Amino acid sequence: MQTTPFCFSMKTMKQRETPDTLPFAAASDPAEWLDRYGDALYRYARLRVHDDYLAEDLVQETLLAAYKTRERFAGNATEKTWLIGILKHKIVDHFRRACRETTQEINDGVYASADVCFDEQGHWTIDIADWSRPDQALEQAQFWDVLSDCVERLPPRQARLFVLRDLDGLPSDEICQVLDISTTNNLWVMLSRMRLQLRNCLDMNWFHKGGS
Amino acid sequence: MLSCKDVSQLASKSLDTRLTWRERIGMRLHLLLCKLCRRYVRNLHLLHGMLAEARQADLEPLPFAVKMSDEGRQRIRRALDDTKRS
Repeated sequence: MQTTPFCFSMKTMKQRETPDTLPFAAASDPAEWLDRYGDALYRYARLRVHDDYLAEDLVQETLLAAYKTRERFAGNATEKTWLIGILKHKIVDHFRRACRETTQEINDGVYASADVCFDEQGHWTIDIADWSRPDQALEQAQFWDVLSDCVERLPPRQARLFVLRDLDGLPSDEICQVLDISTTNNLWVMLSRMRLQLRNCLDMNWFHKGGS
Repeated sequence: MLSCKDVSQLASKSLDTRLTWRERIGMRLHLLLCKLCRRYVRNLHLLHGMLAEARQADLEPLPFAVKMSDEGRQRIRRALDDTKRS
């Protein structure tokens, strides 16, 4: 994939933000982490939880946890990678908590909306168009924007499923555990519904508009 | 014979795990006859492929312009100061 003006490789950022010569002691001040990596951590969280305030909270939790465990930072990863690693855990913890609180209410919404795509015999009730791959850099950047909007519009449980599986590629047994899904068969069904919803949103807001 | 709904679920499942031979054959037979499902499978694969590429390249899909609010930054700074002092 091409690197677009809106998609920055973390590797490039690492070089810019943490020169190798930096002594560890100088950077172990959490306020300095906030200055250096605050926005990158925020973007990482914001993309996954779709809430400004919550994303800021997760950054705060991450920096506090990092400060408390700073002796454990081995120095074989960059500081940023280490902080992102902590943030990842904080996001998963958040999903775990949120899942316990909202499981019931969300299930209904999910099941209703995916089912209208099929009639009683299981035939499609909607038209499925062929998509063409967004190939220009600018087109791809716009595509990620639309995708991010579409994920935001999914019911929260489906959005979490998307983040864990399709964005971050977590193994299915771990996802079942985090989102409290009882069997992998249920997981396949939920993933299928989520992808169908997401496809429909992308079709309407991106491919249909761009392809015609 | 599998329905389109069944096939849509198998198409998604095949992105996560290996289908049984029975599922694979059923899906292939259906796809031979059904244009909409063929397109649906291609849609899913396109999206899945783009996401996998982004993950491998370690891309940050949100633009650099997305930043946390000043209030948020100050709140975090205060919390960090409190911890350092205690």
